[in-house]
Amino acid sequence: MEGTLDIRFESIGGLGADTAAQALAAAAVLDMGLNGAYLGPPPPERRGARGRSSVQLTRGDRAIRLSAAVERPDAVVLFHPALLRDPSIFAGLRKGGTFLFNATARFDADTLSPLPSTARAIRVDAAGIAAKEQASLGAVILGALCDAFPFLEADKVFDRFCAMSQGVDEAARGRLRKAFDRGAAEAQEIDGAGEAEGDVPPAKLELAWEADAHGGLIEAAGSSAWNDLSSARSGSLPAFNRERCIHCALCDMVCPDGCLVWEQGEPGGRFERELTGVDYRYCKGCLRCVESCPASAMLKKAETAGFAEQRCVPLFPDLVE
Amino acid sequence: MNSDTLLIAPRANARQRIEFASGDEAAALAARAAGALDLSAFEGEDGAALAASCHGAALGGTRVIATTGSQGLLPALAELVAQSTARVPMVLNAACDHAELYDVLNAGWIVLCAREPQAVYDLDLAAVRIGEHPDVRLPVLVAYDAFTTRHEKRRLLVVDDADALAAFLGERPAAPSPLDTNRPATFGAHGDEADLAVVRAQVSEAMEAARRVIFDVLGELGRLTGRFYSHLDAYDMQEAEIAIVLLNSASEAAKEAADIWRATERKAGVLSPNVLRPFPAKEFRAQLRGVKAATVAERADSYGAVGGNLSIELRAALQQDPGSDTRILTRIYGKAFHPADAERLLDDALVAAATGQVRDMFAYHGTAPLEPAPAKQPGLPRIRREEVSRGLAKVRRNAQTGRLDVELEPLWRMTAVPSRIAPGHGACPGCGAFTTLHQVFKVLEGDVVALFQSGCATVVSTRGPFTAHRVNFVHEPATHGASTLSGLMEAWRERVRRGELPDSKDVTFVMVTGDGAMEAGLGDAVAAANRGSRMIILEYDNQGRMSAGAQPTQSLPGRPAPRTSDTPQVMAACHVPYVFTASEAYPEDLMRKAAKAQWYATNEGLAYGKVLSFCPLHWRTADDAAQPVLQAAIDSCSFPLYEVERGHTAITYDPDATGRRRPVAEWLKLMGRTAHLVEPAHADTLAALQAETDRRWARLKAKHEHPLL
Repeated sequence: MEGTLDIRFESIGGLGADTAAQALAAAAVLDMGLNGAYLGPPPPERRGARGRSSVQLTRGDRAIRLSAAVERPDAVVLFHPALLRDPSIFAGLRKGGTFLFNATARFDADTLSPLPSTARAIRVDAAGIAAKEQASLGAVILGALCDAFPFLEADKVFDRFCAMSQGVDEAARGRLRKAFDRGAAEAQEIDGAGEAEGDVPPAKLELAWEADAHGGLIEAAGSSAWNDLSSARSGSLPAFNRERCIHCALCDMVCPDGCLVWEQGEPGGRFERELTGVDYRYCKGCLRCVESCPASAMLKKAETAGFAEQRCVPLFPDLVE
Repeated sequence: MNSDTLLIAPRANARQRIEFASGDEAAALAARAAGALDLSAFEGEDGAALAASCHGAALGGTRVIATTGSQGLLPALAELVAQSTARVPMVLNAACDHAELYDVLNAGWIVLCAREPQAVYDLDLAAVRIGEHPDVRLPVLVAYDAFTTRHEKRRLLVVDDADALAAFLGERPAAPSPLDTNRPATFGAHGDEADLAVVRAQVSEAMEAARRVIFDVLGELGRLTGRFYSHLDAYDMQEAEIAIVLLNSASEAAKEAADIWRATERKAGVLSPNVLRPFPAKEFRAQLRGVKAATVAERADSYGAVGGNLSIELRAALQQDPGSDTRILTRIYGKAFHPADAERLLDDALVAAATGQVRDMFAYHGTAPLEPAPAKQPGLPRIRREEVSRGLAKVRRNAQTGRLDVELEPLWRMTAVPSRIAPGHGACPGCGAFTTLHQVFKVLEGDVVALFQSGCATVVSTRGPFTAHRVNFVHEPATHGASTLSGLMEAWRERVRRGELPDSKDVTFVMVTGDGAMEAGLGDAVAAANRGSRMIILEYDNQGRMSAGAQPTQSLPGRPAPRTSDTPQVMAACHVPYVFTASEAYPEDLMRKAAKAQWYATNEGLAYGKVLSFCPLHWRTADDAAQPVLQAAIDSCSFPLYEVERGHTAITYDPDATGRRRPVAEWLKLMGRTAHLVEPAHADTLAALQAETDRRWARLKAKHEHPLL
């Protein structure tokens, strides 16, 4: 390879992006004669939390100088489609860079507009392939990545990935390989996706100390209610069926995120308190409510576009935008 | 890893192989290579305990190489001083922030700085030799950066030549040891003031002697590995007119910047000490001759001294050089440092060099007022006392038994109580710490003042500028929460006495702890119990230190070694009025006990509850597997549910009586973290776990049955 390749993996904890990043760098260093480094978020990878991992690759006789997350990547790899709505995933991408992302064919193409017009956008339905092949997302995405950068030796990257994934026996290896190869074969370049000129500006981190209260004081009690945690869901959510609900509140006891909405029951009705729905802004899709429900009123559902928005019952309708 | 790939580095005398490793892994590899004891896993309680354990092991005559973090280094300070003055060499790796590094600079340790994992490995090997040298005999700290060097992995060349390594390291020189029973001696005697000055003078002398020893050892290391280190790493300093000075990983970004400047004929170099103690003053003076201006970029400040320790000491060093006219600027930066940052700081130096004027000698880099200041999100409405005081758990003393009975309203009625924790916190999906808090807060009445010891529940709920807490919340960063809360309560009592605050029994003080901090702060909790502090200590027991990287705590019952701290029994032995165990799997049971705890904390003294709380990340289960796993823990008596009320033990759920008793293996096999224990290879461990669990359960039952216990 010539020069240096800086790659940033964008994901949420629990999808395996960090393992994929490590496997890629390990293969480069241990098996491909390159010099390389990996820098991850501090462990443990908190599930559902936004995280990024960096990989820097260069020739074997050149120095690596990675001292912080990659700021101006040559490639951004997106594991979690829900993050497409967040333009900060593109921060610093070079104008001739590559954006490889996991999404189905029905993704919203407008979300790619912050990309440089000269950048390459490659889509792969990693979640779909991984589900079909009973393999991990990382296998599909690494397959697509090796295809996008031919200097990466696919077999070596694949072997390292298997070695670093947990509990990979022969059967699992076969499934992973199929997913890996399908990633390479089915990745599609999308033409005319980006609209921006030049490099994407890097994220600007200005710490606003004058605007902050001293001493770590936060006087807006309960202000986390303004956070949107919906990107923490990794594919499933609970669907509420009010007809079946017996309003026993078992689900409420085991919901870690306080996202179930209750109201006073109809006067003279059967229930004094009634569960009216889920505020999906805060639901991370753990499905403990589904597991606890004695009436099958909460059911696990694969999240489809728009479902959460349509069925969301806001907890603080007058307060939180 | 890939041991068949062997390399000969240029000018190296030893065969080497390639690894791919982080800073911590590099330290562990060095420990193995040096045949050293690695007591890093001893960080059971806190950094002070680790440092003390290492001190003991080194005093016993072994080589010791251990690793700690920022949160371990600072509490270890007193121990570090004791060890240097006792002249017991060892190597402590500290993956830390520079604030903690600066805090321990005066501890009498030799301090080496490692920019990347390779330097950690190399300097660890050198550190063994340096510290053990008869003229030195001092412990050595190898500092590298948390968040970068600790969490990055890089190509690492390790010496794959046992003979060459042995020749380099040599034998640890014999020193008097308390293990030599034929020669009894007193170690670490405390002297009077004059002796103290003598001890310090001796440390100072050893530190001076270390300059030459370090030079020699680093030279030898270079001949062994082909990698040469000096006291002061100088990059592109030839003819440099501008320089930037930094510690550790940020200096790598600065080298990128220097390359960019060189490419455009701007002569800039980078200086980065490999040795911080003894301070390389002479080397700095030599390198900065001819440099017109230098920016010292520091990650920590010595508040009020107009610079961090590096720039203060550098200025002092240059003052010894009458010929020096280098202008020095100090810039304090945050966590991430990129080449662009280094370029901006070089620009500042360039201006100073060109004008001979330093505009801002001292400034924080990368912080600025945001214009306009962002509109603050308002909080949620204040929770009114009557909204949370609905009598949903009525507590009455049973005249016959003397114990409290609780009449609990049905769960659905609890939904009318506003949650004291707002949604929008960043815990993992399925997190049991928050279900535990949710259930307990449903029945606590009146006002609550909460103090959380550091741990996951704190980290994910108070990430500024947002907080999830709707009641007063205090964070105790170390593990002295019970003491902090005792002090707060003392102030409350005094201010009530003075009439400054309303006299109310309606305020409940709750300390929340988890992630192993209960054990680490046990001394403080015992002291609060002995003082009779009227607080609730609520432990969400997730059986791991999740905020510190999933280290196991000691709360896995019956773990054969080390012995587990059975904290409910410890607290019960303090004769507090109420101790309970519970689980979020049984909300009614937990709520009844929480209501009793509030009654006792209001009327009699300290109440402590340990609540088994689901942690899918650490336990390695599905996010929705809480119920079966918690149930198995309880049914296997691994986590028995009971209470000790005014000294009387009562089992509140007896799996024997209900016919649901299961072997411990039935619980362990449900979790990825323990599933291996049910395999035949671990039969002995499993049998020991089962036996210990049975023994503790039998003791508990005996207490339950005995009228006095």
